[in-house]
Amino acid sequence: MPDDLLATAAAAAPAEGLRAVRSLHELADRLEALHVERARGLGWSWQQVAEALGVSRQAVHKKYGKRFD
Amino acid sequence: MFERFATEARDAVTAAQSVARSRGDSLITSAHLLLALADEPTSVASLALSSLGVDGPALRTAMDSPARAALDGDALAAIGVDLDTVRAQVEGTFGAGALDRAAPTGGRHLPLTPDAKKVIEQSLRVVVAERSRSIDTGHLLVAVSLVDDSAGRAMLTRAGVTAESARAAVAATRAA
Repeated sequence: MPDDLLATAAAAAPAEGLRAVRSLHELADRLEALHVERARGLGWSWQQVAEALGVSRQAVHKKYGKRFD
Repeated sequence: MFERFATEARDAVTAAQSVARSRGDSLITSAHLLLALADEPTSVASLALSSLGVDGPALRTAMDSPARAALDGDALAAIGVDLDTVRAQVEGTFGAGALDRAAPTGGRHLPLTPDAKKVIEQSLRVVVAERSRSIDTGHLLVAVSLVDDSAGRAMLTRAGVTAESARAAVAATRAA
């Protein structure tokens, strides 16, 4: 994210900034779920998904194991 | 007693979760709890509210402006992220409606806000204070009316219901 966007987020009123952060989290969560689902569908291992996301295999399996096994 | 309390509270929370979902909210607040109590037509709580001239639709008009969706296009626009562009890109890759389909609320439980938890705790205190043997939605209604700064209490206040009138109406309903 460019610096000026971060500056805008930091300068905004707390309620506005926090709503933006919440929406970014939500957006990232949804994108993550879609991409994990696709990767699993294409035969990626949990280990590969975890490495791409920069988290542990356990973490990614715990989060998505039931949904996209 | 605690087992019965747990059942009653669980049912109320389950109903409140449905109310929250139907509004597109991702958290269960005391306002959702209150609406769930009012929506159950034969419950002590809704009969007591009726006797005060209040019902679900009336409470809904007293609710704060609808909670904004978890994915808030205006909030994202304020930091330079165009949700429509993101949505178009995602749907181009994953198909129509993909971004909504990926919403995490699906079959999972929604969390309770602190004010909703306070209502549950308060209802236990009400039950204990009354030395009540039967635990019902009336206790939960009185609890909502007692928790300061809760969204549910604010709705009751706007509908003209006080802690005193709620308690009296619940007592009268139980006696009837």
